[in-house]
Order: sequence, then structure tokens, then C-alpha cells
Amino acid sequence: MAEHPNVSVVRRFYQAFMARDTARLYQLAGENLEFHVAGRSAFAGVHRGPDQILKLFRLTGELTQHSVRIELHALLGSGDHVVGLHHLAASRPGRTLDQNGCLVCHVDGAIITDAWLSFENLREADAFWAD
Amino acid sequence: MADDAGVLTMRRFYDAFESGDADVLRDLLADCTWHTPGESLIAGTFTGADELVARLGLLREMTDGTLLFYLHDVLGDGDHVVGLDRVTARRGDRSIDMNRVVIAHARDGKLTDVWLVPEDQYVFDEFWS
Repeated sequence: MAEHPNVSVVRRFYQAFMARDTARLYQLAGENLEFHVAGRSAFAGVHRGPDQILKLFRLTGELTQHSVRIELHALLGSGDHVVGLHHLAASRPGRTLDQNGCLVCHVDGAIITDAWLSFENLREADAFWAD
Repeated sequence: MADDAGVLTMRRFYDAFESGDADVLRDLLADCTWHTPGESLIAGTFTGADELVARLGLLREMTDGTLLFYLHDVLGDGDHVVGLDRVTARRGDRSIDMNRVVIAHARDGKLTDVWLVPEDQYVFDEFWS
């Protein structure tokens, strides 16, 4: 069965993130994309548009010495949503993050218009990202 | 595209919860391990129909029958099923209105593992503390 086009868009987003392909990320992130990160950390909240989202990825990359690794377990699609189930690993001096997470997306055409990033253990994730 | 079996199983679960059909719930949860994250009274890992149906009854009691789930969407890929829902409930002067991601495995018409992911774990825990 051919993959739903919306699922392919989110798959390319994950691939571009892992490849640090900012040009591709820029293409896939809609101009008005609202990227919601769960929690209370400095990175939590809504990041709007490709510039803010690329800044989020740059800052988290710098903080973790580019150790963020996302392994995609599954991508599920319906007419309205795409959901990515992934494993997220990262490290900082003296801290590690190693847990499952998910990304719920709305896709419109070839771009992602909304995304909500959640963590299996939000307290641990927030502690990892804390100053 | 026809819904896959896991999607139908997940929809049956929501229907059975809404109608309070304990027999169907017992059947759906017979082989289930259910993971509720966080630090609230309802957090933890629970297994099997007896424990899970009792827990669902407890949630109804704690919320004086106000607990409602609105299922936005269900997605399946043959291996996983994901429900996107919104939960609303009241406990005395506390209330909750939150989206959740409900990630599950389904097999032979039963849910075998369920992981809840509330949109805001802290607010979720405060409500259920």
C-alpha cells in the first residue's frame, strides 16, 4: 500500500531533522507552522514559523553538542492527522535523555501546519532541558 | 480505505466506556497492560480486566460521573493504534479539559498495551492528585 502523502511529508521532516538539512526543514515547515513543545522548560511552548523552529533545533543541538538522536518507530496517518512515534536520545554533561515520544501533526499539501511534541516522561525531559 | 482492526478495537473501547458496558470493557482489556504516567493518584502500570475495569470505575467515582472522552481521531498502521482524544472532568472545584495521545497495541480484537500521553502532565497530575 502506498504511503499517504501526508505521512510522507512528516517522514521527510524527521529525515531532514536527523540530516540537519535546514533547507529541507524550511520547505516542510509552513510559514505559519505552530510547533508546540510540551513542558515547562525554556524550549517548551509554541514556536512559530520556520525561523523560530530552526532556532529551536539549533539551540537544542548546541546545548547537547549535537547528540540528539531520533529513531522513528512508526508513522501513522489519517485524513486529518499524522502521528510519529519515536525514541529520543540526547546527552549533556552529566545528563542524559532516553525515552519515547510522539509528534502529532496537521499537514496541508506539502507542508506541516501544526505539530505537538510530547514526551513519555515529561518531568525527566524538563529536567534534561533545564538550565 | 478500510479501518484496520486495531482502529476498530480502539473505537470499541471508547464506545464501551461511554455506554458503561463493563462486559465489553472486560473483553477488550483482558490482556492489557495500561501505563498512566506522572505522579498522581492514578499514575502507574495496571494489568488485566479486573484491575483495569475497577480503575475506570474509580475514575468515574472520583469525578462524580463527569468524566468524558471525546475521540478526535484514531490512526492505525497494523502494529500500533493511536487515539487522539480530549478529556473533560470535574472533581469538586477542580476541572480538567485536555488533549491526550493514547498509544496502544491491539491484537485479536483486544488492547494489549496502552500508554497515555497527556498534553500537560503537570496539570493532569494536579487534577488527579
